[in-house]
Amino acid sequence: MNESNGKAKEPLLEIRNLSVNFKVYGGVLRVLDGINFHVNPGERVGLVGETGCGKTTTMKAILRVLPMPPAQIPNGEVRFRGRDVFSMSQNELVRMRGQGMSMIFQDPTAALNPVFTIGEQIRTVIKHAEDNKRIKSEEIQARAVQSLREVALADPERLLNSYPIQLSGGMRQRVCIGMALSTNPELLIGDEPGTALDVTIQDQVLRLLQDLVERKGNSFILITHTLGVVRQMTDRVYVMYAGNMVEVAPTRRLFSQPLHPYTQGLMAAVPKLSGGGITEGIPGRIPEYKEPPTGCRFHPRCPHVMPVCKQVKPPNFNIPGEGQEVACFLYDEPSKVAAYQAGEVAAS
Amino acid sequence: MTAQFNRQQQLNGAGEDVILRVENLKKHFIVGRKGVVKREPITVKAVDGVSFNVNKGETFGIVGESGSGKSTIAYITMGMYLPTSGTIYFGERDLFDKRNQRAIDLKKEIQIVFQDPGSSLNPRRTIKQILELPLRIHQPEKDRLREVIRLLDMVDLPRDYMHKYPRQLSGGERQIIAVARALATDPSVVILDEPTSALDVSVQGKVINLLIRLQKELQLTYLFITHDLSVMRNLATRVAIMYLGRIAEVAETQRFFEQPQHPYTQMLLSSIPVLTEEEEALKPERVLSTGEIPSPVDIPTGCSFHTRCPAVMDVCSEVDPLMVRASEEDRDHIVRCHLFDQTEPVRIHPT
Repeated sequence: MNESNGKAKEPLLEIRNLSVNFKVYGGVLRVLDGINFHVNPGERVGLVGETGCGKTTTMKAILRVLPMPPAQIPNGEVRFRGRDVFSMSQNELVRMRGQGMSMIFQDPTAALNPVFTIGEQIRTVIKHAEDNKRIKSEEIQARAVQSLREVALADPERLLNSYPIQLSGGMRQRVCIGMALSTNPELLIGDEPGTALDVTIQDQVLRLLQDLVERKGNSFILITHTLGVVRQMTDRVYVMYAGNMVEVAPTRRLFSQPLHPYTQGLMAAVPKLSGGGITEGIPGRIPEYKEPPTGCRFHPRCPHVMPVCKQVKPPNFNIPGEGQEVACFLYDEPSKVAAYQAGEVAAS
Repeated sequence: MTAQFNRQQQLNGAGEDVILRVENLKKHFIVGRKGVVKREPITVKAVDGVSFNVNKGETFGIVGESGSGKSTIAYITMGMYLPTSGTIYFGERDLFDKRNQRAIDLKKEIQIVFQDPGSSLNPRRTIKQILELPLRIHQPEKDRLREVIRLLDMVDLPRDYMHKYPRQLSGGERQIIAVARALATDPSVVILDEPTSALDVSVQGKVINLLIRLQKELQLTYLFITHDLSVMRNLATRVAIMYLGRIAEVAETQRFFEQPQHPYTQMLLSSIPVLTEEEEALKPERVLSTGEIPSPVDIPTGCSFHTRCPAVMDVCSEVDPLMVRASEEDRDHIVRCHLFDQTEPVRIHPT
């Protein structure tokens, strides 16, 4: 998309070869294993994977909120607007978290403080993001009202004086979205923003989020394990498995032609609304991080496993043309990719 | 009238193959009191007049959002709650004729698998001890070790798992143990309360396929409760959808998904995020989800869905609709909505 400007724009957020370990009693958990990830300005990026694959650890690393210790970062870097997050001063960090990026959590009930009114919480956020500059309280109030109005909540003045417990789950999540957007962040991170809600309410909240992101042009990272939501809401998707990014592709492409055996298995495992039974899913289970499998971490569960998979960690192979990258030795030669696309290698 | 009743008797299968007969079931919880003098109770009508039949060997699905009362029905069927009014028959026997003193041979017939095996299995017991408990109570004469082995074989888990603790198993395996425990008493009805909601997609298929296989082998009847419509589509034979303690629509599964009639069903189906264009095409025309789910303490008058319904009419806020047939061609397709002719209400249990 950005190539039309002559040269590709610098990404807003970039993670390069990041590893995160947790030192625990009796060993080291190697959770993130050299991941690469980037978000361009205005882009909506999905990050999917199952429980325990490292999605949340990745986000915590970006926000630099990993508890250290036990967490260790042996290698890698995170750059936000070109600045290295790990070497930022405390002031810069606060500014980055306030104006640069904000986050929407899975459970709005836990994200809001039950003993403060909605208004107090939103005003604190706005004040903080303004670097504690002298800002008139009327202006803060006006911006708080505005942010609730944007998330389609009726009667915002009254809502500002209510406590979270007085609102329904869907309204609370709207408040959280409003709060996250009240500082006009360049990057919005949604960690399972609809998962705790009922289907019809989730649908409303996600549609709202989509409209807002589109209108305001924020970059957006959507973390979720629900593939259907990713398909609706993002431009590009990263698939994560056991601390590795195994595949990245434009959303349409990923859903029409998943290449990594894990992505294929995951997609096949989702029960279809059109019926036709349910596949057995992927055999085995997510590996222990204490002693992760050598080579490709997926190899013990992979239906196409080859000898090389057990020894060497697969690098990302570029699939020409579509901006798809896959970390799997099945695609290490262009001819194999062509054969795959011609349908000679059966997708299982 | 009698002719009409006879007809219903046939179509709702009030004959021999009905295994569970739920009759006008109500469960109201008192959650508080208001007023200083009168202390009038504040009630939550978790289940408010629900009737349906479950046929032998079928998988009867109940879908609904949180607070719709689907789990309450499961717990009443298990005997964990007493109904406020109405009752459930297992075959010819009233499950509540002795109030909470359910006969042990009735307890044996109805078992349950809960949502989260992490909390439904005792972490301090080995798998063997977990599986032995129902055997001790219900089949004391049998050789317990042999039975435990038989159960593990039946669910395709290695026999040496009996010496492990739940935490040593993966989430999927734990849920399979919960299934094995439910089957230990050799029941005829198994209630599945969100059996795969706590599991990752890559393992839920295994559990579901196991359930399907066991149903065939052991001629089980399932009462399957979930909020995941895609799983429902692939497992249930008939589906009932609940909204605020009441059934809104009941139909055979394929019909339920392909020709939903109730506006709420249509809204719910069109809200599901799906993976393929093919599924997208199957969804009903986009019914935008609007409004909030009302508080169960304060259920709207008339049809409880009227506050969110895109097809709302004046009558909806005043009169509670009756259960009527959605179409002439499929007489088992029942819907509770004013959009359909109200003159010939369906009685699920003609007596």
